[in-house]
Amino acid sequence: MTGTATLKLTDVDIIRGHRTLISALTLTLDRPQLLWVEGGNGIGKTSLLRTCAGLSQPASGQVAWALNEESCKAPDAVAFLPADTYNKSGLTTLESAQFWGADLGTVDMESHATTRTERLSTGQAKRLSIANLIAAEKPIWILDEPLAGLDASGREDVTALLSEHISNDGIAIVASHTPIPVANIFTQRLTLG
Amino acid sequence: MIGVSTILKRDVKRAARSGGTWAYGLVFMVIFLTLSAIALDGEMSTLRRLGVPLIWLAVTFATLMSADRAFSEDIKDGTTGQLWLGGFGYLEQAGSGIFAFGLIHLLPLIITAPLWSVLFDLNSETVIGLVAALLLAFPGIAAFTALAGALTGGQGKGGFLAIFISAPLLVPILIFGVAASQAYAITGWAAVEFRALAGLSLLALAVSVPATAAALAANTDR
Repeated sequence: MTGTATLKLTDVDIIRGHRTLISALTLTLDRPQLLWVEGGNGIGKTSLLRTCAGLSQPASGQVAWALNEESCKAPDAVAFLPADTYNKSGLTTLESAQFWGADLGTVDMESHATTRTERLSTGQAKRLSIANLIAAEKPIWILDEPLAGLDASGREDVTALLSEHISNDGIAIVASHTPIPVANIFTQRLTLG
Repeated sequence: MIGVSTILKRDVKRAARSGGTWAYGLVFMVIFLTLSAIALDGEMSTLRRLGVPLIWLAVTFATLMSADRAFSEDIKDGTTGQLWLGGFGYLEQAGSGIFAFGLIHLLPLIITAPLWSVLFDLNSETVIGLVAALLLAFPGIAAFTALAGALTGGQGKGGFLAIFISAPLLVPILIFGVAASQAYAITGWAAVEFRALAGLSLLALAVSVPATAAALAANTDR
């Protein structure tokens, strides 16, 4: 991790096709916390997350990132966990992890090191993506449905990882249909729709 | 840290394990050339005259058929955005992607060209000229074709569109490529066609790398 981060959205509009998903959203995350983004399907959770990660540009308004109060670019501060896996078929789990500089031990996946990624279950593929997220060592984590497809122990592991990340001065923005059961963590809730 | 060599290693490894999908272009080239030789009635003087242009056509068509393999998977599954967040910018992705595409889909066609030239009874000097010209054109063909792949990568079925975009761009390379292949036997390495071909390749790279980077950025924003 590399210092305290800030994420600031000013008057952000997000438009997809002819639909305005988010209008004039202003938001500042300047202390370690969890922002829980909730809302129905297709309401714009993923679009908001991608905008916060710098992967999509807002139709209007500004998104700004800062590290130790110095303005920076998204890749300096943000790691993003998409809802779908981006692990490549044809590679083993270990090769995929090595490509992203990740350590399988962080997500308890060493026993699957030689398994091809296309043979991993949904939950195992998610764990592999989470290993990449951890390896990125970024202060702002943006997670799209991180608990989907995980079993009980997987959900516990992710919750523990989130708690640890925020306790280490990190920020996490999580889109989820269910609450993230983190204890003793400053949590804000953003309901879209 | 992700670098050009990491991308190359990943792509080559995946191609080697893909059950031969990288070889579609090569198979097409063999069939195209064999059928052409049969269609020309096995007439040796005609085959010798048309061998070089036909091999160039086969290489061009075979590469075009693979155009939608450049970048489209990375764009669709979100790898492009993840690489950008990981500090591997769009420009670096464009450069390494073009090189990897050329290495996997174009180089096998060039390396095996001398083998197919036997079908057309080409003499050794013509074969040397042909391979040299193909190697000089390698960056240009790879760059323009991969650019089309990056432009259409976000589409569901971008294959045909990619072919329509890159085919006109490849015409000058095709013209000077055939001319350089044939000029070697007459003027050797000093042939002006080789310099023109090298210039076209450099121009293709200068245009395609930034344009591909812009296309990757635009396709990531969705």
